[in-house]
Amino acid sequence: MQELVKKAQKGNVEAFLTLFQMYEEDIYRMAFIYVKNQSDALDVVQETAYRSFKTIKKLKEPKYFKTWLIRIAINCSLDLLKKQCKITHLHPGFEENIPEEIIEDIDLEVAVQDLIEYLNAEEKSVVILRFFEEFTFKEISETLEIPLGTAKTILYRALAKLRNNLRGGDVRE
Amino acid sequence: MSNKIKQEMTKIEIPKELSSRSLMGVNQAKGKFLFFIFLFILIPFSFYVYANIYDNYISWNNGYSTILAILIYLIVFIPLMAYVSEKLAKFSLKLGLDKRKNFIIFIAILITIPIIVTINDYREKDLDDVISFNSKDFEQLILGNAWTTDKKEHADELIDFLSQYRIKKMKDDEWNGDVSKEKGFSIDIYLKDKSLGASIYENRVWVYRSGKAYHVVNGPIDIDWIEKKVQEEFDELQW
Repeated sequence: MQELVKKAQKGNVEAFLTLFQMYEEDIYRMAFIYVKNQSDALDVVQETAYRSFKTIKKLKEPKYFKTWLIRIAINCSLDLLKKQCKITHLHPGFEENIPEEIIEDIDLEVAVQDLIEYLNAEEKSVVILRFFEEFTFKEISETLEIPLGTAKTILYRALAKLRNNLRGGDVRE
Repeated sequence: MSNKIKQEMTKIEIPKELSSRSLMGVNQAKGKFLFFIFLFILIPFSFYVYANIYDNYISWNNGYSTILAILIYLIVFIPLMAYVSEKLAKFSLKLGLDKRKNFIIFIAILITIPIIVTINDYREKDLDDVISFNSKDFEQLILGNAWTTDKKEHADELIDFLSQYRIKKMKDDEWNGDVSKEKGFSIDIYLKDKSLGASIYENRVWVYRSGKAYHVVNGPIDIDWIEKKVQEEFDELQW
């Protein structure tokens, strides 16, 4: 893969497309969670391809291509939401009383619709990266450019929301 | 839970056009690059053409009209060039200009054209190449602001005489404004829809419309012949 990245950085379109198409389905599914419809999700994929092709020369470490691409995809999704004024913000003070250990293995019957409906953009980012892309917290904090502790906090809050929702509680923001 | 979320997200259906949208994004990036290349070429080129048209064909140009012309250029022509650049970029992508080899050929052509134009500009040529006109459109010839004729034969004879001389373009800073030590005359030819004019000296020529100056390679030009010819015609009261 690193060879392909190097070729793409030299302007080889075929190499770039080969790389991009490895992740385009992931990007589409991630985008869908943010933007909630097919048309906008496809716009995000197109914009991600545009931005990533334009800036691939700036990628210093080819081995980080995936995380770099995912970050671009998340930024594209958030930018689209900003354009549509659909970004929701966190409740102040929600970060208090975060436990050290985060219990992630509860087998919740979570549906795509729950992710779309009950989580804000920031929480979606962390949940997607943790569970869909299976990133470590370190990778999540690097991708989203947030402190490690904040990444854990956000994940805990997102899981709490999903659990409460599935139990019938309502923690919607 | 991780499996559940992954499983659930994997259920999101992938539309058929996904790959084509990825490709569109890449083409968009390539198109943008080509767009700026075209814009970079078209803006100075269009300004050059626009300024020449304004200088040569707008008879009422003065300080205010120049400001107006610049404003029109900024408001109308720059957006127009951006629009044309975008169309050219899209067209170029269709032609395959995004491929490295084709792009190099394209850039080579772009560089070659101005080089050829410049070489042609500075090549040695006949004097009548720079003040040629279509005889059918001839209306009047004025020599030295004094001798006037509307006979086409006089103009043809003069041009024929001048055609024996070879000229070569000189750089702007080579032109010496002091012409007092040289014999010379001015020539103005009025045609149906335009006019030509030049100052012709023994060893150099200044063409008004283009603003270009030339050395006479096989000079000096026989100014006495012109004066003698004019005098003969004047004596016969034909001029």
